[in-house]
Amino acid sequence: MADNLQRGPLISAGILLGAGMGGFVDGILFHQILQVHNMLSARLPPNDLVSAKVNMTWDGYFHAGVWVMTALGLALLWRCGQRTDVPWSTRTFAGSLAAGWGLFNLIEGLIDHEMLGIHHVYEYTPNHLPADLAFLASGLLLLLGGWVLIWEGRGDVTPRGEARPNLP
Amino acid sequence: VKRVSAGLVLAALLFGSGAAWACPQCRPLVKAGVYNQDFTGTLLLLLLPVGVLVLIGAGLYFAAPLRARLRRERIKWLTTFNAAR
Repeated sequence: MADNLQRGPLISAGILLGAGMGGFVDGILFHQILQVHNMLSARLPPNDLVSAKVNMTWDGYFHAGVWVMTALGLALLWRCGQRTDVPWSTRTFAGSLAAGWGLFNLIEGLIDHEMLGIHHVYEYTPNHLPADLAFLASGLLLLLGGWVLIWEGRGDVTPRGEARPNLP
Repeated sequence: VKRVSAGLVLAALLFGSGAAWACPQCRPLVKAGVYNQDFTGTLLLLLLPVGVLVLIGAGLYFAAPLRARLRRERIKWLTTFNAAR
């Protein structure tokens, strides 16, 4: 049994869930509570009600995508629970959640903030770089911390599922 | 006296403050600002990070079965090839 153990499925479920939760943290904290940026705030600054509402609409589309990603992670986690070849490891799962959140910060930060420039972490300053770099650094730290936890969890071998051993 | 004061404060808050109105004239402007010829391009742009993350997550899930299947196919092909020689 130990030779056939698959850690990949639990890691991928955790990464998708962690990235989704990271996306919701971004939306709830930065877009709504602190209001330091919106999805298109570098291209269309929310200086009047119409611009703010257009930005809100695009925020909604982005969060809909993040919701789909989270739901996919939940579905994969459910399947992991039914498989006998996937170790049900708290360390692996917690590490994957952290790594997923870190990946979200890194990928969203690189694509949206640096490559496309559609918004920055803190929009209301002439120098966007410090906050953008801090966001990327937080992603890197989360990814490294997650990787350490996943590595620590490699000794966990007990699976949760028993009923459906050959589920893909 | 306390009850009367509290009632007065509540009444002042309820009736004294300006009412919050929706912005009916904003609605067509917002729709025009979102649902225009740039809609699909902007949507794809916004969803690009999500797409990359889903590819990484799903790729990791299917990587092991895919590798095992490729290995089996390779062994099968090599066996057939060796038998034909």
